[in-house]
Amino acid sequence: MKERIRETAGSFFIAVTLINIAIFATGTIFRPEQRFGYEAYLSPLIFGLFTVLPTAIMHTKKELTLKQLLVRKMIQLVLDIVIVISLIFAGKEINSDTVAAAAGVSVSIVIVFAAVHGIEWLFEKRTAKQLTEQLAEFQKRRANDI
Amino acid sequence: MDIRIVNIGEDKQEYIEIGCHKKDDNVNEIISFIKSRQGAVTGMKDERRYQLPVVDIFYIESVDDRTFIYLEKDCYESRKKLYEFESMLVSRSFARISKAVVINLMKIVSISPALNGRFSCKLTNGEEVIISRKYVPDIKERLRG
Repeated sequence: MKERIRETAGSFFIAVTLINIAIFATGTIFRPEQRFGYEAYLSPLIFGLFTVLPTAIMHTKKELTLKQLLVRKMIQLVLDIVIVISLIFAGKEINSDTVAAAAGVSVSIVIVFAAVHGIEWLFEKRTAKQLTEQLAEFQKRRANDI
Repeated sequence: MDIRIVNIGEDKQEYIEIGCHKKDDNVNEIISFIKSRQGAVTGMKDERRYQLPVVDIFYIESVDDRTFIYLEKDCYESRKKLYEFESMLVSRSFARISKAVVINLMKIVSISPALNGRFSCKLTNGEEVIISRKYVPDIKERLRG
C-alpha cells in the first residue's frame, strides 16, 4: 500500500510538471491572447489529479503480461483524454476552433502520458543500477563469509 | 595425489583448488562432495532422486502447485513447497522475488528495469527472471542487510 501511494504520488507530480509545459505549449499555439488569474495555477494540479485517477483505480496486484499491460495503458490513455477534454470543453459550443483545440490537447495528453512513463522508466533504471551495485556488494560480503 | 594445505590471511577468501590433468569422474566426485558440505536439497528427474548442492541452485519456481529447482542447465522437481524452500534457504543468500520464484542472489549478474515497476534480473547462465514490484522493497532491504 505504502509503495502504491509512493508510485501514484510520483506519477502525479511528474504529470503536473509536464501538464504545466503542455498548457504553456498548447495555450501559446491556440489562445495566445488569453489571460488568467491566480486560479490558473490550480489547473495543472486538477488535471494531474484527474489523469492519475484512472491509474490509481486500475491498479492491480496481479502480475500482468505484456499484452495485458499494454491494453491497460491504452485504456488509461483514452480515459485521460476523455476526462481532460470533458473538463476543458464541457458546455462549450462545438466548432472548428474547439475541435482543433481538442485535437491539440489530445496530442499533448499523449505526449505527457508517454513522457510520464519515460521519466518513470528512467527512475527505475536508476533504481536497477543501485540494486545491481548493492547486489555486487552483497555477493562480495557473502563470498567472504563462506 | 599430493594434498597441499596453504594458510592464508584472514582478509583473503578461502578457496579449494584442484590441480588435475583432466576433469574426470573422480574430480567431479570431489567437487560434488565439497559442494554437498555446503548443503544440498533433493530433486527428482526422470524418476531418479538427486542431491543438488544448494550453491548450484539458480532459482526455485512454483508452477501449478508443483515445485521446480533450476540449476545452470537442468531442471528438477521437488515435493517441497516454495515457502518451505524460502524459509529453509533464507540464510543461504536466497530471496523471494515474486509469488512463484525464490532466487539465489549469488547467481544474479545484473538487474534492469522491466515494465510496470518490475525488474528483470540476468543470471550467470544468461537466463532472465522477473522481480515483482511487490518484492522490490524486501530485496533492497535484504541486499543492504
